[in-house]
Amino acid sequence: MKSLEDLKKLRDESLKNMNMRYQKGGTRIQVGMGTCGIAAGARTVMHKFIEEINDLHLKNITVTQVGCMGECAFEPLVEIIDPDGTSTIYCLVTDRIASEIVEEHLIGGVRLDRYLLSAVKR
Amino acid sequence: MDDLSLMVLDLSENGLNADADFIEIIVEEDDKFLRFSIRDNGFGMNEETLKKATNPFFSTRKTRSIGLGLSFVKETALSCGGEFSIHSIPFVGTTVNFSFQKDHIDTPPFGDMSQTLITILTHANIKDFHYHHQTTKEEFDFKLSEVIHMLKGVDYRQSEILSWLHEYVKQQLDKIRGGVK
Repeated sequence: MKSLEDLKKLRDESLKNMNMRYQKGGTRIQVGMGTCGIAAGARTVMHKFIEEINDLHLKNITVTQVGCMGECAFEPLVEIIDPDGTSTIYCLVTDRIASEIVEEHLIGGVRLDRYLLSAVKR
Repeated sequence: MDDLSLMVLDLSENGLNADADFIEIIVEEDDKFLRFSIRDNGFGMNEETLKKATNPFFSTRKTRSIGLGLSFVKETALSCGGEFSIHSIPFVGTTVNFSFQKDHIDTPPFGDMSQTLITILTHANIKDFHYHHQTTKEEFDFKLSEVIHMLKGVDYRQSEILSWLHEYVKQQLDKIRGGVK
């Protein structure tokens, strides 16, 4: 059973291999968490990202939730903001697509055109 | 919206969208009822807006005039032998209370409340967050301020810490709820 005290250990380890890695200039993953997003499964998709990033020890990536992103029919929507500021919006994201985004986009640096909101919406 | 933890997340988002930086969730359960209270310190609503807040064809949002969150929770709670009320003071905040009768056939499952908590914590505006869960025998308290204190300057919004917190909350809730879904 975990206790909140254990967080101190995690903190010390985190500091050891951190080397200021959480500075600005990292990648941001924003998941739309409006009623539409939540009903479409955005919460588990967000947790899929957190889990994968933790399991694969990816550095300098922050996962945050934002409100309704305005395209309710295409939720869950996930926006990836690369360190250079480039924004990519993926739509109808499932757990499986989230894993693909982590592997191809975040690790491989390749945009997954078939899941783009701009491509699917047409 | 398949379960109660998703409804709690949805209503917490209302607070976050109203510029709240503090959310408090209280869950009390006994043999008969599950009671929820969600309080935020957002900009609140005046009486006129409050009256319309649970109408699905009303929303303060400019993009659409449909607002489904509150109306859905209200209808579900009332049809499951529970109650619903909402109180708000402009520039102070809003509190939503609702309950479900545990053995009502239409009462949704509790769901993964630990995911809801972590999701709230990842919102950029959150400065403080409380979760209190009381059963007839046990209780669980989660305060973001305690987490921040333990981490001494390390940001909790990194995946390894969020994953850890998720597991931690999950274990604690399973313990006090006896693993009931």
